[in-house]
Amino acid sequence: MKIYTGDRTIDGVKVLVDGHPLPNCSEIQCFSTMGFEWGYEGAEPRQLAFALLVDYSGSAETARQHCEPFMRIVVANFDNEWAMTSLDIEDHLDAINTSA
Amino acid sequence: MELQDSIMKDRQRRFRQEYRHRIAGWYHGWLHLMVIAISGLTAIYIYTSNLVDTQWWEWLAVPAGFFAYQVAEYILHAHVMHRPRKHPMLRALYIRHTLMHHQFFTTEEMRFADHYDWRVTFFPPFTMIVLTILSFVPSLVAGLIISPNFGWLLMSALTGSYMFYEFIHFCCHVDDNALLRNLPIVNTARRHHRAHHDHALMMEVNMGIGTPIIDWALGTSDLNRGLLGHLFNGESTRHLKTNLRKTERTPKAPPRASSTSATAH
Repeated sequence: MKIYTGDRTIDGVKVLVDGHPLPNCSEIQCFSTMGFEWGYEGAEPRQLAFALLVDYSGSAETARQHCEPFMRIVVANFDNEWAMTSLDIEDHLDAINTSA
Repeated sequence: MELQDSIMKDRQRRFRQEYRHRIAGWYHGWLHLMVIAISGLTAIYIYTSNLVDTQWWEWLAVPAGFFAYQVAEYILHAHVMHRPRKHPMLRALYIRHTLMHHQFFTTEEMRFADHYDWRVTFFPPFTMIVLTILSFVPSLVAGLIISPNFGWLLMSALTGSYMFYEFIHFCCHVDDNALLRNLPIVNTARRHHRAHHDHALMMEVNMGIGTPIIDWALGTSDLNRGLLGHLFNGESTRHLKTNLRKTERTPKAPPRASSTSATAH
């Protein structure tokens, strides 16, 4: 099980997977070149949603397919600092697939 | 030095400690305040000393300039200070605001501990120079097209509106007292801005600091009431919208009927 965390620190926004920086995957799909952000619906949360889903699923296609609802339902509702596991992501993807 | 009677969480306390540790030792809040006040008042004095036989309609430049600055400040706040941008100067504003100001002050603890903390709220002293340069072109154009007095008054109003913004923002981060609680406009701004410091709302809601008018007009206010209600809401929380974003450390998925996953590792 992977653990994803995000925090706004005095040295910048830090998004980690198992303690290592999460790649932004902008070379696969670029929604924003400004880095990650969350707490609203927009390009930077969309890039974060995409990067989380690529890391979780290993599939750019799956990430592309679910990134928009995942951004609106999950990333836009992250608190100032957040944490989630790969199981949490799985639960959200199941919910998104069920409601689709 | 830190506030002793505070309900702030350990995270905020640690951030404030770290921020203060990194501030240059020579910083002095009262000096910063004096620079803003003296440069602003001097600029307004110079601009208004150019007025000659001012007509009544030329005074319309004052509300126009005041409101124009507040709109510009709203746009800067909503689209630069809370959104990362590529340009280094714009990105610095985002870092200074979202990653510093909003971590230093939260809805649980909005107060300065002492004047050394003013640095995290006031714009840097060179802001007056930048503002003067930015104000010059529209004021010159207005001065040429409408009238010289209109141009000078517009320049004065833009400067005055910036100083008003700094005053109101400062009032939002000082300790509570009977005067601030009962002073119209100021008490409204204090509640409006405190709500903006809620981490669940800060990226989208209550972006106006000097005035809530633009939030009301664009629907980005946390209140569900009219213009006058917005202006004179004071500390009331009776008219809060009920559909505001609620963030969580770990947003939970709705309970699933069956546990199947086609995409999981």
